[in-house]
Amino acid sequence: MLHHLGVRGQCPVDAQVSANPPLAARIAINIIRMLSGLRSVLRFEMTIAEWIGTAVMLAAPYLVIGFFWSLTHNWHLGSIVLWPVLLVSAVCAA
Amino acid sequence: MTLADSRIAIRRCTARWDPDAQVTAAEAMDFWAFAAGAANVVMQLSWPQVGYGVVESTVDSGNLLKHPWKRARTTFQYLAVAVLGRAEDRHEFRDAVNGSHRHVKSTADSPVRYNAFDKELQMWVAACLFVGLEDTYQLLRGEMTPEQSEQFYRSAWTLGTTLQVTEDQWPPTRADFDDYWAQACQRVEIGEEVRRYLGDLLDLRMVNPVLALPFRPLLRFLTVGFLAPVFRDAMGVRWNGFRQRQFERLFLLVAFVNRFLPVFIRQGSSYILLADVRRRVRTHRALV
Repeated sequence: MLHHLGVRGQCPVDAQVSANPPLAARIAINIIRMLSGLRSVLRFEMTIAEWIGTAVMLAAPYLVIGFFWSLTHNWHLGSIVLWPVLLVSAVCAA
Repeated sequence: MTLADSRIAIRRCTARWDPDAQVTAAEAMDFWAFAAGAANVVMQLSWPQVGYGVVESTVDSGNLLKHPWKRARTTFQYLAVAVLGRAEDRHEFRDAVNGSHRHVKSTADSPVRYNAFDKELQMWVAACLFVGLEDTYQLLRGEMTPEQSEQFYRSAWTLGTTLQVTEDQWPPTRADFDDYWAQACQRVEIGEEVRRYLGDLLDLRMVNPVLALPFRPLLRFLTVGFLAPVFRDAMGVRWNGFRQRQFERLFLLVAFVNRFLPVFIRQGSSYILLADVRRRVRTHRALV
């Protein structure tokens, strides 16, 4: 109960244990923390507008790279979008 | 003193998307809100006791003109702690600020008597912060309903209670706050020395001139735009209908863009500053 109330530090015995817990306990604490962090990420909510904005922010540098790729290689409209595929095939062909 | 004199008037504001939603001051922490930062400094310093308290302060580490980046960090960290932080963050920050405020008191040569622990002065500063957050929030998200205004107002009390302001010092309702504000603005008076200090701030004298030059006109435009007539008059700056329309159009555009930004972009800087506060506490480093 005390743990839920966030007053763990006020309990001297508990504080002594948490100051130097054994390896297994530390691993368990880290896993719990990681799961809690993962839950926060999965629970995160965004509006449709924010999703659109995020997509635009990610797409902009991707398309800029694609544009310069198509300028320096065989110009094709599709290569602006498909430049990573072309990059892989160019590397494999070399 | 009327609200028309003491608050900025916005004729064209973005539409409200969520008139039924619960709101808190935390939503006002979008990074665009810092555009009103310099105007808020002008408002705070427009009470002579606060103005001379800052101008005459012997605490060099917190001097905006001598250590601008540090002062910006600590000011924005205060906002992040007060609005987004936990009770323990606020407790740590209060102790740190108290340490600096202990040195801020008037001397026999000061034109006015002041003490940084004066709760009335702190209430004025907190009220200025609240007004700044409310103005920028409404410019970015649209006008609040009366219920939302009340929720927003109540959630912003930590702007003062993080330091020595007590809850009963805040006017109990949002309507009462308007009365307090109109009355408080009657004490606005910017003396020559304080005006010179604020002039240096608006001219970005504390920043590298090459960096400052392109930002100076924008800062001046935003600052005067965020000042109500009573503060503009006290500062001796001019504003007109054309600039007001430009100001409103600019924020209609910013509000539109802001709708599409996810919260980790809009408010990421405040959460990073809050994380820095916690790291400093953990590693026993100075907060201010």
